[in-house]
This record gives sequence, structure tokens and C-alpha cells, in this order.
Amino acid sequence: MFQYLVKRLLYSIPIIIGITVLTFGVMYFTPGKPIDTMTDFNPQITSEAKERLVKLYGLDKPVHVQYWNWLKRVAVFDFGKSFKDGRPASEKIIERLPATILLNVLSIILMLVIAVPVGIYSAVRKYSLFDRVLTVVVFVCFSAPVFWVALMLMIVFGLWLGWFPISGLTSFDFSELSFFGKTWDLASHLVLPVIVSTLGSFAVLSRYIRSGMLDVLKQDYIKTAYSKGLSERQVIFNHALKNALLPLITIIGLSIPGLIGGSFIIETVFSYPGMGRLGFDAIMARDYPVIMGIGVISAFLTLLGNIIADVLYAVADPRIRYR
Amino acid sequence: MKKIFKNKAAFISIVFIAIVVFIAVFAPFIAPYDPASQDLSNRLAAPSAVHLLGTDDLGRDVFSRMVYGARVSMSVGFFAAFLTVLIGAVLGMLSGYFGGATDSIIMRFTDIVLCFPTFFLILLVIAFFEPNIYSVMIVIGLTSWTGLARIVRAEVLSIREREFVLASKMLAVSKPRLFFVHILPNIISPIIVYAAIAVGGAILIESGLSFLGLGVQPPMSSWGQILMQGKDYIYVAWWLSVFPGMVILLTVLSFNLIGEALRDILDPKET
Amino acid sequence: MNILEIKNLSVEYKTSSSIVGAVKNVSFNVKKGETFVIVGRSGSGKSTVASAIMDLTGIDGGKIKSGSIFYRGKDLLKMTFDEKRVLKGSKISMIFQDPQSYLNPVIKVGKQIAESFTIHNSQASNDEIRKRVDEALKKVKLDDTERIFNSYPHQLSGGQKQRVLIAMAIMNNPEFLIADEPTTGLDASIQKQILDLINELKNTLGLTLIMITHNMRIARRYSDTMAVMHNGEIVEIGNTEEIFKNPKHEYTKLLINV
Repeated sequence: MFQYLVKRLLYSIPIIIGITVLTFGVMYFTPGKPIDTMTDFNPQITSEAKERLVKLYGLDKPVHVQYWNWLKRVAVFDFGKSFKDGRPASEKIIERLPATILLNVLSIILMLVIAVPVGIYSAVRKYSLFDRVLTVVVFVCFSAPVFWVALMLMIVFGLWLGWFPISGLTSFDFSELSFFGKTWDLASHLVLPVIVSTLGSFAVLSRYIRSGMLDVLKQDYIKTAYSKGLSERQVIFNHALKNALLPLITIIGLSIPGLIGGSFIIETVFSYPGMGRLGFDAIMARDYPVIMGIGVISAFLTLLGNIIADVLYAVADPRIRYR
Repeated sequence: MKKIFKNKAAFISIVFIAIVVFIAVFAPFIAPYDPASQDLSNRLAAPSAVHLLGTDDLGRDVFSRMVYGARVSMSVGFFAAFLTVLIGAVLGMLSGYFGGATDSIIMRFTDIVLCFPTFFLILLVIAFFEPNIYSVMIVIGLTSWTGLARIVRAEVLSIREREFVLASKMLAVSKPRLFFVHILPNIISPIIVYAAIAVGGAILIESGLSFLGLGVQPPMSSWGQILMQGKDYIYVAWWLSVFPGMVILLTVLSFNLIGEALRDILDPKET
Repeated sequence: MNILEIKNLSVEYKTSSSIVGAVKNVSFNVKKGETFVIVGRSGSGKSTVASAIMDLTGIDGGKIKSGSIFYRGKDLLKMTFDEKRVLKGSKISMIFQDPQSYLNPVIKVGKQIAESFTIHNSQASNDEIRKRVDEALKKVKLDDTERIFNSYPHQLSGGQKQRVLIAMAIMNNPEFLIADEPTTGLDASIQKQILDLINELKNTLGLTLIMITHNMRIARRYSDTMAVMHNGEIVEIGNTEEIFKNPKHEYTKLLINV
């Protein structure tokens, strides 16, 4: 177990280096230099002033020196100052991170709550009416453009029925509300974004669970269980479930980049104040420090998620735990 | 091939895609209006006999814009999927076939790319290069290959294990022969399935980019772009957001259903 | 007295392209207290017969087309699932080939054995359950009960796992045990130990035994009656010694002379 963990951590080192190289590389090789963003729209900056800025940021140095200097700052969580308002990029990102994490954690929970029973039921009653209907639903969810579903939900639940607010995370009078008022306000703002961000991944996940469960139900130890005289229910809950759900841990870990990627579009549609929207705005404004910060942070979050998933898997699966 | 026509869902999907492709190819003959011609006296008109799907905020005919949008979606879908398959299959084959250091480098690289939210990478690159139909195609292709590379690698590895045993007995089997006779035919099926699904995926990503204003640029039209305009008028002009979304959904759904049917046919061990 | 009578049993399996008749019109009787061996190569349908008795046919995608399986005069194939459930694991038990895959990898061995007991004795107290498990483990010569009880399957050797499966099968003192290739996947040195253990348990517990094997030497050594299966049909059946001395069917001769 301990050995396994050490191995897992050592394995992440080249990945971490790769993440920083890729982030830096993408920014370095894209056309337009950071300085342009700062100077293009400011006619008062002379070409000498521009030269000074280039020197100041070390942009005249060879690429590996620039990378190394950037890396040293990233190591202490310094991504530089936002071009937009001069605040440290790391501060701007951290301020937005909780909202994004909240959205995604809620989505994962909702996804599990729906996908697990649905996937298992459709595996156990394979080719039943329920299973067929579910298959259709899954394919539709999987094929629907996220932002369009968001728009439709906004029209139906936000505008026609008026049940939920359609943008932001809190109402304008949030600070004056009581504790319960605040909770309710927050919750009602979260309903639509969470549903939208759950839809696609719920579809994929319930498919995974269905095929995983079908696979488990064909295993030899299921025959042993039946030959003991267990009922179908007992076989499913006592023997099949744990085996079928173990891979979920890994799948959730792997779904993190997809969820964060989805946040960019969902947060933009719902004007949700999270990292995704910050990232989108930063990209549109070519705010290099913020973009690079978000790139590195989301990749690290993903890596961290995968490591946690692997560790949890090792704890949950006795075959790894007692090796 | 016969089998796929027996599968009702897949058959309908193929017919649907064929129609969309037909519309895309013959767009100038099908569209009743010039998709870019504005008619400011007739803004946000509801669907009617004159304008089948209504008009947008500049009085342009939505049906005509969607007909031309099919060109964008189809070409982006097919070309991006082609690129995805090309990169994924080649990297997967190299990795599985050569093993050792080649394998380690390719797979670590895949792991690194997998750590980034794909959509973030795409947004980033598109925004910094010129957003147009070509950059959209290329960037989607460059970022969507990771899954296929892993699948192909695993497949090649398992075939190699089996075939090497056989080869060592017959001794005379050359490496290229082993590759073309034994490995290639076996990995074609997963590649075809992945390709079908990748077309749908690329269409979704394109529409998402256009929706954010980072896809093809006006006066060219795309389904996602119509949705972007529709977003500002959901109160008054529902047709701007409902129809393009439905068409995207049906098109992507068709590709996914075809992919699923192909999987059933080509890989009978799956149930 | 016949404890089991199988009449005209036919089982089919559906593969993706065709329907395969795995067992065609098989009939035989098993007398109380005897060891009845079914021999045949893989694919001969011998395991399918065992699966049909234990109601496991459906799991592999098979279907019983026709016939009856009388256990003490009652047709198992006409019983409901719940009626059969009462018999399975208590009166009729089964042990399988390849013990590795027949134990649930994520549940402790002790719990898996105890389950065989509790499923048929829902009132049992924890102390009683533990006592029964320890007894069963001792019967199969796993004296290190405490360690085995708290182990996961992958922590045991192949021979130990098969003993655990046997312990599960004899937990409720069944009168009838089916052993489907019980030594496949085990080291040659362990095989004889396991077979001897099964044989010994048969004698001490008064079991009736159906054993399925592809090994003619095992068949000859342990069985009273023997049935030879080929392509889903029984080609020869009778007293084991007589068949070995005077095989009538060509296929039987072939098996004996290999």
C-alpha cells in the first residue's frame, strides 16, 4: 500500500513538469505577445517604453530562461499581475475557485445519486422498457449541446415558470437576507447550472455503471452466490454492487477535466461567478497571467483528483490494500 | 454492412445525416434567401410561410442561415474527426507496436494533455489565433485524440501478445507483415466507431465555440452562431434558439447512434 | 433409491450469430450415496448439466428447452425461483472449477462462508454463526481459522481457496454435492489433496456426489457410476469399472486410450 502510494506520487512528477511546459508552450507560441495587449491600445506608449517593458518582463531572454523564471514564480504560486486591473492573478483565481468547486461537487453528487440506481436498474432489467427508454435518454443527453439545454431550461424554468433565477450566484440583496434566506437564495441560483452540468456526465456515467454491472453479473462469483441460495436482490446488493461501483472512483477522477471544461461554457451562459467565467473573460481580454494561472491550476486540480481517486481506490479495493 | 440497415435507429440516423449532407452540398439551391441579406424592416419575424423558421435580429432568414450552417457543421465535423482519428490512431499504433521508450513518451504526453480541460485549451488557442472555420477544425482535431490513442494502443498490445506467440512458431513472419496482416485489420473496428462518435463531438464543440463567439465569423453562419444571437432574444424570438439547437442535437445524436450500431456490429462480444 | 433423475434434458445457448445446442436429450439417474462422474472434453456439455441442476443456466445466457430434473421426486424445473432457493446451498450444493474466480474478491472469506449459513438460518446468533464457520473450516482442514476468516480471497493460495469453497458448500450439511472440475487451475500436488478431501467428506457426511471431469484417471479412481458425454449427448453410461474394462462406444475407447 505504502509502496503503491510512493510509486503513484513519483509517477506524477513528469506529469507536473509536462503540465507547466505545455501551458508555457501554448502561451509562448501563440501569436501576439503579452506586451502587445498592454500597449496596443495605449497610444502614449512609445517604442522605447515598449522596449523597457520587454526587458522588465524578461521577454528578450531565450525561451528556456523565460520558462525557468516563470516556473520559479509558479512554484510559489505567483502567476503575475492581471493585465486588466493589476491584481495578482492567483488572488483573482482563488477568489473564484470556491464557486466552481461548489458547482462541480454538487454536480458530481447529483450525478451519482441519479446515475448509480439508474445504471444498476437498467443492467439488472436489461432490455426492459425502462432500459430502452433510459438508453434513449442517455443518448439524447449525451448529444445535446450544453449551452442549448441551458438556454431551454432558462426559458422554461426561469422565464415561463419563474421558479429559478437564471443568472449569477446570489441576488442583489443577498447581504441583507437571513441565514436561511441566504441558503435558499444560493440554492435556487444553483439549481439550473447544476442540472445542466450534470446532464451530459450523468448520461455517460449511467452507461458505465450499466455495462460495469452487466460485466460483474457474468462473473463466476455471482454463480457461487446464486448457488448458495441467495435471492436476486441479495446477489445484487451483497455481491455485485461493490464490484460494479469500484471503477466509479477512477471514472469520477477522470471526469474532472471534463467538468472544469464544461464550467467555462456553463458559467458563461449563467453569468456564474466562477473560475470558468473568469477564464473565458481572461481569454477574450488576453490577460496572460490569469489564463496561465487557470491553465496550471485546473491541470493540477485534475492531477490531484486523479491521485486522490487512485488512493481511494487502493483503500477501497482489498486486492490493492493488502498486497 | 447489411446489418446496419437492420438497426432501425441507425438506419434513420444514416438517412438523417444523408439529408443534412445533401443540404450542405446543395445549400445555394435549397436556401430560399441569401443567408447574409438583411431586411431591417422585417426583424425578428415569427415563423411563417414566407420565412419558414422566422428571421433574426437583422431580418435575415433563419432557414437559409441554417442551410448554410449545415456546411460549417458538416465540414468541421468530418475534417476534425479525420484529424482526430489520424493523430490518435498513429500515436496509439506507434505506442503499442514499438513499446518501450516510445510507448512511455507517447503515453506520458497523452496523460499530460488529459490533465487539461479540453475546452479550455481549444478556447485559448482559437482566441489567440484567428477564429475561423479552419482554426476550429484543426484545434478540435489536435485536442480530441487522447481517448483513441489509448484504445488503439491497448488493442495493438493485446493482438501483439497473441500474434507474437504465433509468429515465433512460424519464424518467417516479418514485422511489417505482422503489422499489416494481423494488427491493422483488428484495430480498424474501434477506429471506425471512434470516428463516428468524434464527428458528433466535433460538431458539439464547434457549436459551443460559435455560441461563445469564437467559431466561424459573420457573414458566414453556423448553427451555434444563430444560437448565440438567439440567446439575447429568448423573450421575444424563441425560434432563434429552439430550431438550431434541435438540429445540432439530432445531428450529433445520429452520429452517436451510428457509432453505437457500428460497435454492436463490429464488436459482437459486447452486449 | 434415486436421489436425482434427469429426463430428456435439453439446453441451448444463444451466441451472437447462432443457437448452439449444448445439451441434447440427456437422461440419467443418480443413486443416494454414490459418486457419479460425468466425463468429456471441454464443450461436451458436461458443465451445462451441472449448471442446469443448480439453476445457473440463465447467467451464461443459456436456456433449458425441455426435460425434467427430479430431486427426490419433485421436478426442479417446475419449481419457482424461491422454492429452488430453499434447496440451493442447503440440500444441494456446488463447488466450481478455478476457485480464484468463484470467490468474491472484495468480501472477506469469513463473511462469504458465513453467508452460506445465514441465508438459510436467518435467526442464527453471531456466536453460532462464527462457531459454524470455524467447524466448517476445520472440516476442510483449514485449521488456521482466525487468519482464514479475516482474509480476502487474493491472500489465500489456490488450494486454500478451493477448500474455502468446499467449506461454503458443506456449511448446511447438504445431501447432494456437485463438483464441477474441482481441481482445474490447481497445482498437480494440490489436486490429489482436494480430491481426497472431497471423497473423505462424502464418506463422513454421507453425501451423494456428482463430479464433472475431463480426466479419465480421476473418473476411474473416485467414481461408482460414470457417464461419457460427447457433443452434448451421453454416449455411454454405466458402472465405472465395467466401462473401463469393456468400453462399448468408440468415443469412450478413444478417451480411455489417450
